[in-house]
Amino acid sequence: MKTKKEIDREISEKRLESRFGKKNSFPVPEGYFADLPQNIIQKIKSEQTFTLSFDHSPRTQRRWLIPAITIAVAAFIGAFFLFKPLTTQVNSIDKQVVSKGDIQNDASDYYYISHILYNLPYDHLLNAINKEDDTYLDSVIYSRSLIPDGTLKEEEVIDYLYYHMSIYDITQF
Amino acid sequence: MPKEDDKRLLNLLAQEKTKNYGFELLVKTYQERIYSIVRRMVIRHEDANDIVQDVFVKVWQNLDNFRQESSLYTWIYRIAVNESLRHLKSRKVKIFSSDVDVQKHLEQLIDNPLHFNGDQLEAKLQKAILKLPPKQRLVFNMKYYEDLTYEQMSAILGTSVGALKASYHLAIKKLEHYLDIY
Repeated sequence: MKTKKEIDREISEKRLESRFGKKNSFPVPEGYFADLPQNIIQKIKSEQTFTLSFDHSPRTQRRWLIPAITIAVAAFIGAFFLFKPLTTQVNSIDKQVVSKGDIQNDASDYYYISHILYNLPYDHLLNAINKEDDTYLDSVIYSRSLIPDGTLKEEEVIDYLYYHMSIYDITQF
Repeated sequence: MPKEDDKRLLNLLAQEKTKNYGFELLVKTYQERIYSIVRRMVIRHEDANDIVQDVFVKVWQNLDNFRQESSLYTWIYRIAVNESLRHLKSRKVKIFSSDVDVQKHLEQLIDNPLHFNGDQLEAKLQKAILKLPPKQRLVFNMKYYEDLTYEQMSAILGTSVGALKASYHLAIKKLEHYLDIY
């Protein structure tokens, strides 16, 4: 049996419908739905091509590159400390070595960024994202939560940061 | 959508040989319903188109993670809903300062025949709907226009049936007030 509230709601709904209707009056360009599947497939293909070419260079090599970079960076830091007072903080090295805007679109910088990102605590990355664009984080979490068994993957965070932030910003947190 | 159809689509999607065909079929099956809910939220066709394309790209990218605990439709719809809300939120952050500004902007779009071609009464209703907070607007659109059951809405939004009934009730009452109909 319907409650009083439900009956009241139905009456209101009918009143609204009889007065205003339920027509869909949002115009759609002609042939839009006929073309949409192909447009989406095209978009997927272009994104895959991009990922593929991107994968081809640094990321597929990441397994051996990361240790190599670690050694290189460690050597660099070692050399740095050799010529600087011991009180110098690692953070300030980051700031000196990488100034804002001078690292993007450069393959060698990608290695450096990867190294730093992979060595930053996960919370740190999340904070970075939060500060930069909380709506993106929301959407990632939302999207992942609606994908069964989905959790926010560290790699996703790193990819996001790589594309949206300079290393200078990241090391400020 | 009947479970058998979902099953058929998932079978096609599971095999490398038929995956592309299965995906095209999936888009054709759901595109209009997904577009409709997105369009009612963002009003502009160009925005709706971007979102719908992103939704299906995400579906493609995450097909392997889909474990069939919900129906395909529920899953896709949920992505669409979240993408629409994210879009509105990002507009608020990037262009406007508040929900009211976003609402005013969307109301202006209703007055433009490029974006809305209903009569005056329909436009009046759409403008009243835009006064609702985004999530309540979504609940109203899903129930009133898309004829979804509370159970379906609950599966999509992850909100209890009771809370959805209350939200819809409140939305209708607000609309009656905005439109001055009793």
